Amino acid sequence: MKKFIVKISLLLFLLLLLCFSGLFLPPTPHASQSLLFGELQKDSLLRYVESPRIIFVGGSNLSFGLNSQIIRDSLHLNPINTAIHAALGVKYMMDNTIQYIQKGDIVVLASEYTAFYREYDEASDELLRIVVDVNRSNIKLLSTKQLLNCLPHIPKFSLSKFNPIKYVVLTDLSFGVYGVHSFNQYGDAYKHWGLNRNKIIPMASLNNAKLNTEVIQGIKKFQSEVSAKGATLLVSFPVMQDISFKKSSEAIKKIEAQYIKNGFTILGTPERYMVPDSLLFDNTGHSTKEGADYRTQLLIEDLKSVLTHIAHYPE
Amino acid sequence: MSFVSLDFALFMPLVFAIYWLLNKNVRVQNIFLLAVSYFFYGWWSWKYLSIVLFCSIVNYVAGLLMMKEDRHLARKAILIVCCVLSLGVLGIFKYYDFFVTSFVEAFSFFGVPLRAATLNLILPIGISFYTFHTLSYTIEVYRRKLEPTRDVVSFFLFVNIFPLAMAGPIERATNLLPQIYKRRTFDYALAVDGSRQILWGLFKKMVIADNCAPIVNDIFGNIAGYSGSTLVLGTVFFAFQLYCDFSGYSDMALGIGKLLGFKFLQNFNYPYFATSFSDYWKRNHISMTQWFMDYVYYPLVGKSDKLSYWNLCMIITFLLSGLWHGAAWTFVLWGLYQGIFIVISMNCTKSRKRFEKKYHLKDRLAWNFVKMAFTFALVCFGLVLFRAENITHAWEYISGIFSSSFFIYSHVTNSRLTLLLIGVFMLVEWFNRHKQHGLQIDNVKYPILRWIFYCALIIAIIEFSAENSQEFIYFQF
Repeated sequence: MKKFIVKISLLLFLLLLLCFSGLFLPPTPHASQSLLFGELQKDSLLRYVESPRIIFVGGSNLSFGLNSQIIRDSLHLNPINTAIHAALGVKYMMDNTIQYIQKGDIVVLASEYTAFYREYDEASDELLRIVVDVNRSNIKLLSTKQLLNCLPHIPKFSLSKFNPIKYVVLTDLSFGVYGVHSFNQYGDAYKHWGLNRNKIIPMASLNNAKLNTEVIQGIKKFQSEVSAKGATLLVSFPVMQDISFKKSSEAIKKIEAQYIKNGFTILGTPERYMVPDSLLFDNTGHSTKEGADYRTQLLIEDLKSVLTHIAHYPE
Repeated sequence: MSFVSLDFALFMPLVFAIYWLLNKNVRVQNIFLLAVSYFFYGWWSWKYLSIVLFCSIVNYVAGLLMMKEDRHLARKAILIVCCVLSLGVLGIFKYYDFFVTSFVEAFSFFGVPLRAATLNLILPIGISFYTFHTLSYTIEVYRRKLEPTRDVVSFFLFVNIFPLAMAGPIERATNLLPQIYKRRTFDYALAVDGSRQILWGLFKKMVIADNCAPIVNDIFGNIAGYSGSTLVLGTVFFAFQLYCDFSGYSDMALGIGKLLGFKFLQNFNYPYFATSFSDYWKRNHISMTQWFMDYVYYPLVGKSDKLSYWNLCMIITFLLSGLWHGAAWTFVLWGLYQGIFIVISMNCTKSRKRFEKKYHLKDRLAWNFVKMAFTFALVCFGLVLFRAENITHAWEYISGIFSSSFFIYSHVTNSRLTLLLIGVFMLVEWFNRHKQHGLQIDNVKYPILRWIFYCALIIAIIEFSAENSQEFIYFQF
């Protein structure tokens, strides 16, 4: 028995050591090319772009789905697209953005529908990487539950630091579609503009999942924090492939109903942002250039109908 | 509580430590094991623990009554009442809605509209498994092959011992009860083997099954979007998902049993290396197949010597085993498919052997591979029924396979790595096919090599485990 316990403990100790030592190593050359490092650029936009500002918060439906230049030209606002990856979780996105909100800012939140059907304090490989490799000071933004949820992601994350392939960079990600330099001066992902589209595989239905009202409460809290800083929060809907949209229409209606019930200022309806495959690049929410332009036009129409009621909007 | 969860990672070492601290007194050890088994089950639902208790009480009392009863008819009556009560519970929770809906649909088809009063009950996890556990005990007692037990703790533990509580293997009272009575001492070799088996089970589940799942869901969810050849590939992925999911669970259950000093029944013996359909069912889900053979097929056959009647009984047995899996017509058809092909396979054995003798093919590896591939193809085809949501869905899938797009190159996003992992997995299983599990590497001479292999496997589990862990498929049965 003693022999067995000693051997098992030794094996576990070795593995734990391997797992946790990876947390203290610098990012691999491969990892430092990933789009997650785009957060540094986006944070600096939030810090230095001057008022009047319009800030977009969401996942990759926004980073791939916006042409901020059109917004700037039409609305005469300075756009900042903070979106990177839906896996970071809506909580982290909001907590990171609120640090930089200034008086008079207009904040547009367009979170992916899946976020409402997952844990509010969810964690992911991407979240762990962003708070360990990209911006360590942001660890303080994570709740205890988020930190606990990060634990199962540590082994995979740490092991990647010992993977020789990640040091001998085989593919140059840095200037690719999902690289650190794939964002333009406003934070829009643009490297895929003009590239060939991929086949779009529909998303599984969300209709059987249970809506997490904690997410709505989290957004309400964000709204009051935004208001306290003298800014305005508007909510919008993500771009979604029409087939996937129809498959999850009940689940999406529930989200819209929650927005209405909680008195958020809503831009348009979910149906308006339902798009055919021809406007999508490589998944159900990533737009092509044409898709991004189309979505931006819709958003501008919706924004115009709302912005006139906002006192500090510059005419 | 799932074996693949943080909760279980905390639960198991604690149970292991306390369990072996109590090993001086087998009764105390059994009481502890029963308590943690109920805790393990109750973690999923405390309410449904009452059904486990009900089944345990019914069969325990039946055993005691049969002990006191010598008259054959009275013993038979006790058995029948016990079976009705045990299967009745299973019937209400698992089959009531299915039969009512089918009944109403049948009447509607003939123009007689009826209104269905379905119960919409949540299926208690593991109900099919513990019902069969308990019935094996009562039937063996009835057949006088097993002494009924007075020891309530041992019996209740036999019904719901935690490694087997959720998805088997379906244990036999004749195998497990004597192990529960006996004082268990820590066996180093057994514990090491158990740990290896758990590791191998984790690899199967987390790396192979969970990586196959999104590909399978995608292909089965978008039949129209894929070519016939891709749909074929979808069945192959599902075959590996199902096998690695369930055999992975069984490996973990057997491994945990070994850590606690138990030797549970082997549930899988490399079924995808089977050289015929009948061989496949000797290797796949062995505990269930054997249960149906002993308690359905042989009693049905009785003393008949007619081959045609034997074949019919075999088809009925597999039809019922299909129904055991799930309350849906797809499962009934799947069972029928298995029954038909097992009958064909058994009836062709002689002619196949003659053919092999004539052309000197017996024991030729290449010929064995051909047979394995043929058997695997038949299994995969049948699995369309197993995976499909309903018969229309299965029909669409099969029609999709046999369309002109069958000859279009199949393409599935993100499937190459999974295919590579399946290849590596099958190689390891092939080289260990004569052992109980794929990681029985005690013949490796140098311990350092074994340790390297363990570490490599753990790293592979961490590195390649799927992003979203899936619930074990057999939990739904």
